[in-house]
Amino acid sequence: MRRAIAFGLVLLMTLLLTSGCWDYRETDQLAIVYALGLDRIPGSDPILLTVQVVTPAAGTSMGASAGAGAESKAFTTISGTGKSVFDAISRLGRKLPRRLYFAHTKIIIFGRTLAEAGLGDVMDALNRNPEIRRTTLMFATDGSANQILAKSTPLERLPAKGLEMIAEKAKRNAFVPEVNLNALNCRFDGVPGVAFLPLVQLVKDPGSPSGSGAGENLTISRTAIFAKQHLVGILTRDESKGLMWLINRPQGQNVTLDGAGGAGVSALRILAGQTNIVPQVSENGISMEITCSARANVRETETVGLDLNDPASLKKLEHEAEQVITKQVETTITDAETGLDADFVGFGRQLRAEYPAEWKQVETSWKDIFPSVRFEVVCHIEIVNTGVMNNPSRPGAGKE
Amino acid sequence: MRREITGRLQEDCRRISGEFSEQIAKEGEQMPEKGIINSKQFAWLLFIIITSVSTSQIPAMLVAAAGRDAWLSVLGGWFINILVAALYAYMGLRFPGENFVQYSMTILGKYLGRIVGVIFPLFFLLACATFLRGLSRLVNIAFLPDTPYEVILVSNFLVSAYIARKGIEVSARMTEVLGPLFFVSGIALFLMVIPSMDMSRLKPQFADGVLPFLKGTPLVQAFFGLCVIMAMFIPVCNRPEKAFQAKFAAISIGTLFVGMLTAFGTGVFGVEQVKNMYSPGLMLARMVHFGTYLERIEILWMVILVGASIVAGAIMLWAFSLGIAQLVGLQSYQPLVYPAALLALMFGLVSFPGSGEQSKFTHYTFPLLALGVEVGLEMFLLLAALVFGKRGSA
Repeated sequence: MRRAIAFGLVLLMTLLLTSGCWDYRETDQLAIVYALGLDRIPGSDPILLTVQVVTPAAGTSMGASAGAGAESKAFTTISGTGKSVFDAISRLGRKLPRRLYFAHTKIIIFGRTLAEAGLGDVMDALNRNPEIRRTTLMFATDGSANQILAKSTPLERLPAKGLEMIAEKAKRNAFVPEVNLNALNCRFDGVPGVAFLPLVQLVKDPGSPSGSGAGENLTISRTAIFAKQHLVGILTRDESKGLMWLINRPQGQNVTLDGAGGAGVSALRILAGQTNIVPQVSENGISMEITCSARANVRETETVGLDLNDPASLKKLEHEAEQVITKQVETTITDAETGLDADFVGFGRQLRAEYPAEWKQVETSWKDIFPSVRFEVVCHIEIVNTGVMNNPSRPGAGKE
Repeated sequence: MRREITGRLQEDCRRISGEFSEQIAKEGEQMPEKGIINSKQFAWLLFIIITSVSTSQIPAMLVAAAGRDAWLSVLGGWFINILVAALYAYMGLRFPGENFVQYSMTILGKYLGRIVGVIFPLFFLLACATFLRGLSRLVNIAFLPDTPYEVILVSNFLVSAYIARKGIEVSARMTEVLGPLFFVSGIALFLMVIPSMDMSRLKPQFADGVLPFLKGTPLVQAFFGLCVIMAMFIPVCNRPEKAFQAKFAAISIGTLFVGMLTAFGTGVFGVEQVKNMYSPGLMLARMVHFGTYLERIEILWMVILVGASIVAGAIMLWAFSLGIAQLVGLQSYQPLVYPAALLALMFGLVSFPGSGEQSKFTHYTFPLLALGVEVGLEMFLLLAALVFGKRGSA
């Protein structure tokens, strides 16, 4: 009997636990932030925070609400200001019935104004927030992050999701690097303290898909360069591609040969590639030997008079591609050394890894030494196949 | 009637005093702990206690001290720990059936021996308190920010004390399950963060000479040295002569785990980030993302870590209670477990006003204290035993 009473008491006590813990979060009380944008604005509250929140009802009532009034958007963009990021978040929270929830944030965008003024003020808030993950993708924009996040993308209901997919494609085709919060932290903490971020742009497009507003589309094709957490410059498309070689991620890149020898346009795709940067220290200074090697296949050729069955003509294509890539990489390094004066190409890092003693001597004056570092780019491309066909199926091609 | 009651009372008194004298007669030969563990359990017990404590404390602190050479320092710590373990194992064999509380009484006599002997149990209580406090803080900041910190700490201690009271065999069987789980999940985690890793962040090694490496090694030993608790396990082990082998296996697996954690932490986050992290292991688990289908697995890592840590806390509470019970000659250590847990809880709650004081304590005071107890005191006992020519009787 006593045991039964004791057991009953224990059961009753467990009822107390069913109310849940202090940290219960019901999904219908959360505003799930998918993307976060930060801008700097003049005034006493300099941080402009923009969040793209998933609209919960839009996802569920898709089929049912056909014709029930206006088409509901899948997202809501809300912004607020504050003295700091945290301040802006808490002030924004006062305007919302739901709690802002950052654990599913996939994208963080820095507006140009903030990037130029320096990211130092906001990086700590992002790193310290236990909900934001270090795998969150980071972007810069040449406009305001606010505008980017308000923009809807074609085909995708959630623009930030679209942006994420564009970024994924950019990485797969190796034209701009993919950078997450952790990688950005590492670059800033690393030797030269120089980082790069993919640049999101709104571009006016004459042939814009319908339903995308005023003919402006989100695109990612260039790279923003940060030195000491400030935006110092933006790479062109070709320089961005060169950067992909220098950070050893060329897989998937398309190399377009514009037919310098009077022939037509051809395109190669890099299947697997590798870049080795070998520093060399001698009496007359520091030099870098950069070796890019890759295997590629043919994706397109308009070249007339080239027999792709003939190894010799493939050699010709290879040679042409090598020249294009070498030029790209050289332009990128030249821009780093003389134009932007920022070691985003990783020379300092390589020097420290291979010559720690020499690095110690030049560490403090690296900014002055870096522009004078000589470099040599060597490129080896091997075409391993020509895709699903050999020669262009044009009448007369291959006979001339 | 009255006479009857008096008679019964007298009889009771006689019986109790009889039991008491019987107990006194048995004292010395009888352990308050009756459980027996085998050498495999011995190894997993040590593995759990070393690894769970080191995992939560070592990486950030070590990287701050030794920079990119931190993972090498773990290997250095392993080497020193093996040497020290040989000492513990030797003492365990020289005084068969006795743990350090008992042999310090054998060596130094009744009074001085008790004074020295009480240091070990107190050390475990302190380690248990700071360790569970650190763990609760991690749960608090990373998973349950709105839950009062005290609630987490109290529930940790309740479970630990419950396990400790059930005896060493229960803890041993738990570690036999949790140990392999902990190890395998750790290795799986390390494999999964390889895509985020950049080897160049580990280069160059020994950039500032061997000094950082030498600075890191004692820090590692301070935490690995918690295996001094093996002196409590040797008497309850069925094959004490295998103690060193078991210990060697435990510390080697532990070193592999902690060394990989440190190396991967540095490789993924870089030195600057790791040394400012509260828990690099948790952060590593948060970095795992395989496409979009395998991510957010840190809760699994945390569940295993919390499980292992609670068992580790239980073992330390057990060691404290058993040691004290032997010092004062109690027949059972069990009544001491809950008071011990309360003591450790209070210590954890009131001794540090904030996280700053706590990190200062774990980074500076605790290693010194730990090295003093783990190496200094044990060496002292060995020397005393050699000088006085004391040996255990078996």
